[in-house]
Amino acid sequence: MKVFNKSIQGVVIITALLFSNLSTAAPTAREIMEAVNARDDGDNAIMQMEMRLVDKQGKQRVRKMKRWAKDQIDEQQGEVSRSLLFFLEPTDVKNTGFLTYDYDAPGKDDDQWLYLPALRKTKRIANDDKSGSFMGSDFNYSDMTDPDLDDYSFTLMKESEVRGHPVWQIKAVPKSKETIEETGYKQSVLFVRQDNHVVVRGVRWLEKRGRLRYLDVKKLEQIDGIWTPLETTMTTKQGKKRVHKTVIHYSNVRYGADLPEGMFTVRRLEKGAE
Amino acid sequence: MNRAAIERAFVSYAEWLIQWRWGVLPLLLLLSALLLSNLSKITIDTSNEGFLHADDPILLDYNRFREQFGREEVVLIALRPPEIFSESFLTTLKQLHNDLEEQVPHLDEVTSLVNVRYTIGREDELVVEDLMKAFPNSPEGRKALQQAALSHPFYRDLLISEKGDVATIVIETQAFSQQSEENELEAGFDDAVDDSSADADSATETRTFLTDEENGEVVAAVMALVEQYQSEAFPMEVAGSPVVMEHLKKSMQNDMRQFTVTMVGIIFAFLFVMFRRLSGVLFPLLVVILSLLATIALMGWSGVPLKLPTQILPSFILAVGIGDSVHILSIFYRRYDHTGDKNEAIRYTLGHSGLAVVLTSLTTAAGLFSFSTAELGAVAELGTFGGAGALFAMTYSLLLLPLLLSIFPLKQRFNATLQAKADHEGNSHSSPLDRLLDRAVHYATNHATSVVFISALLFVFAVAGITQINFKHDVMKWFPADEPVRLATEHIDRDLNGSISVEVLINSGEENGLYNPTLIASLAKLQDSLEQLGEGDAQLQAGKRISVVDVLRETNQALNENRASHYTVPTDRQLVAQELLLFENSGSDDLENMVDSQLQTARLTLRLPWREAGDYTTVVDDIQQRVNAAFDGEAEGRVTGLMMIFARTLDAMMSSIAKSYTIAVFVITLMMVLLVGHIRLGLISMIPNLLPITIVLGVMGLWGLPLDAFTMLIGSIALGLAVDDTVHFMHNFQRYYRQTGDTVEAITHTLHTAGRAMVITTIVLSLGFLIFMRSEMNNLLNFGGLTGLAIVLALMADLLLAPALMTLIFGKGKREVYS
Repeated sequence: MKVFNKSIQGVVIITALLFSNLSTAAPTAREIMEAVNARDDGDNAIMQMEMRLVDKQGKQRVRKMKRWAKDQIDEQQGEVSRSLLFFLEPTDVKNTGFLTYDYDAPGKDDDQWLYLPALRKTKRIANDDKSGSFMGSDFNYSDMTDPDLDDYSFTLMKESEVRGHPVWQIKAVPKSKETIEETGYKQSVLFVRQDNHVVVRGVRWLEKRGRLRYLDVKKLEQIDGIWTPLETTMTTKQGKKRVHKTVIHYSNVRYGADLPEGMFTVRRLEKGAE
Repeated sequence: MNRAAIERAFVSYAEWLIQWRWGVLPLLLLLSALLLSNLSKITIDTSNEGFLHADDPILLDYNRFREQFGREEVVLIALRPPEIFSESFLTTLKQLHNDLEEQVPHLDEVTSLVNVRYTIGREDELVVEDLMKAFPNSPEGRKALQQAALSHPFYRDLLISEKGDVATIVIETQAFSQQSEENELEAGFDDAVDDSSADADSATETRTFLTDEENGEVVAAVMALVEQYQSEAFPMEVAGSPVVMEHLKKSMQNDMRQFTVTMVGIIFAFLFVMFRRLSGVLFPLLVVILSLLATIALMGWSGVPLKLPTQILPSFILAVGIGDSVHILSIFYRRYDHTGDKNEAIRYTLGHSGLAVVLTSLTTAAGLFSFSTAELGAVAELGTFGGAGALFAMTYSLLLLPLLLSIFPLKQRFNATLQAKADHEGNSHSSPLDRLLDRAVHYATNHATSVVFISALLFVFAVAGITQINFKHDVMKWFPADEPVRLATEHIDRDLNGSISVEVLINSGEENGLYNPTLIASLAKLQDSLEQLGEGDAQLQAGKRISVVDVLRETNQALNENRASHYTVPTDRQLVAQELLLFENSGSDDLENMVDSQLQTARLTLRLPWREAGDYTTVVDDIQQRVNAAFDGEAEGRVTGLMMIFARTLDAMMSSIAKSYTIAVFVITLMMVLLVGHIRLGLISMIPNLLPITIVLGVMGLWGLPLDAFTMLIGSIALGLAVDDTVHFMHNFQRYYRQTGDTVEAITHTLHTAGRAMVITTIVLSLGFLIFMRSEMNNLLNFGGLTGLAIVLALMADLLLAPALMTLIFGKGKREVYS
């Protein structure tokens, strides 16, 4: 029996080796991540966001925002993602706005301006680290932008399923301490859907306090042919206990609108959400 | 009480025991083994809140606070370099800071000048970053840093002293234990359960706060780094309640080990001197050690950890438990040597002493059980398990000891000289001890009136002393004056005005209520005004005060071109809201430590110097009143924090003591009355019990020793032990008086039988407590010394006062035998 088992094992291994050599279809982790970054996520987008912040006692706070975003290739600076975001609710912060230029070029810090209507003042916010909370939520700025692939080493852990869709599980480990400090994460595991290259889940190890963050795209739909997450949650956990959770619902998502350059200026920022 | 019937019952019990010894022994050992299997479950808890019952309202308040804002007890490292803003120090500080962040486990946050939040406006720019984000390499850079560090109000008394000569590192640890919590990648997603139910689940689920063990790991890691970095040019001190806790635990474990071993040694030596037999040493040791282990196992089984007060349990149970064996064996060996019939000697012994053993154990247990309803949780546990220990000792003495005596072969000692002088019960009259006892009888019976008069006088003095007695709860004072953590605390209190915290929670009652500018203005005013707290002796200077007000002032100033005149809170609701939103988005997560997620409740932290808890009671009242006045109904303020725990501990202690002393006196008096069979005689027999305790409390008052969580135990414990001597005295006195009808002869007889055992057990017991005086901890030193004194006084009362009282009551001459 033993000998028989061994030979069966041998056949299986050899077959596996043969097939893996022959098939060029199986991508590497890096290739998958390149596909993720290359995915069309809409160059001109308008959307409303509803952000629910849930604390550990289950108490909720709701913030509503409107966001315009435009990706462009700039001759000097490479790809730039510009976005304009206004708070609609709660009323006390209505029209408080953020204008952000996110430069793809490595080493170039993002620009951000903030407008406080109560003070009628715009301030540039100097901040090159992306580990800070995005609008007081569990998401940080690095969660909201595509990673610079050269900063990480990726490994394909395994293939599994999320909500019935086959995914690749990819481990991303930052190559330098700077990247860790900048993003606030020691490492991540990303669950990438094999059919559309959307990161539908992620587990991220926070640098501080031994906490973990769980990203979960709960609702994903195609709008104008573009795969769009409509409900995303980020849960911060310490051990098994939830520390905090953020749920973002996107609605009225429109792509392809012709957003003028003037949309993304300080002057426009000071005008409010209309 | 029909004494003869009870004695007969004990004789039949002995007969039954001997007959079924081969059935009873294995059963007893099996049950013991089952119980002892729980020994491994025992844990230690030296936390400050461990003194209180788990459901104490003040503690529940504190726990809710910790759920929301994390652990407020911080480790403080004070650094005293020759020059703070020198390149070499700043380099070392940064290194140490990084090492702490990397090497200290269960960490929440390390804060120092390296990474403290620095908010500043530059032209049209707003900067929120770490103070030393760019390391100052140039002298100008360091000058600028010095300027920024010293001018920023938020850093003063928190990270740098007012004079700029002391820098601190504040280490916050996690509030919750991470034990038995591991993670499966996919299990972390909660999509399997409905969202709302998952929310509800996590809200009701209770979690363990950081354990003593984890706290120990934190302190050890910090200490290792401090050791590594400190030098003569660079002295460092470490304080904060997590460190105090760890030191208490260390000294407690040390003391417990040392005292238990010493106690076993003392018992060993005394048993050997007394009986000069292997069985006379090994059997009683087996009995007391089993009793001790059974008690600890019972604690392990019921999930009650060893706490500061319960650390006296091992020595206590050993000392108390040995009394039963000594009384049994002293009668047994004499009888056995006299008759040579082992089983007859066992029956005789149990008939003679069984009742006394039961009664003394019950009174001791009653003294301890009187604490089991104490409001002070740790003391209640000591009462419960100490009482259980006394009962375990009784059970093993009455079950295991006779079984061992009956099963193992014993040599009969035929001592000719002793035999010649001994009476039918084997009592001799020749040893120095016997001569001493004779003198006691002689004096007490001949000068009965003066003995009683002197006792009365002592009583009056003692009562005068008791009126001077003070209640105190000050864990720090338990340490010797030169203990590093005590010195460090005193120094930090001096330089930065405080090392422990009071927390005030200001609840606006509605979501986003903190946007209300009036409320914020009131909070700012309150925060500024809380500088002097309390009145009179209890008055103290508050150190750092932190709240959301600091964030608003900083942000407001930075948004207004850094003008110092704008270091104020906004007066416009929208601006408050927008500045907070801006801060939340600025990369700093400090806000979550200052307000709840609904922006309904604000937290105001005050650092105060370490004081005795009694001072805090006044301070807490003062704070509460000022908080109430500050918000005038628009918000509700609640005071919590470690200081409240201390104040509550003292409060619970004071109400516990009156209650348990009353219970102990009542129950023990009742037992004495039952034992003696006469109400009046029973009450009189309480006089020699109560006098020693009164004297000891009087001594405390006169010497200015405080009643604390340890010394408060003395009364009931000493009463429970003192009464043992009286039980033996009265038990034997009545027995012999019935036989002879002669008071003096009955007393002489009593002292020559029970008196000898009383002297021996007193020596063992008092030594058992006096060894606590070897502890470097002042609380144990006082407790041990005073309890030891009480026990010695109790013996004197029973050798002198009790005979004198009996002489006065029954007269000196021979009378008709009373019934």
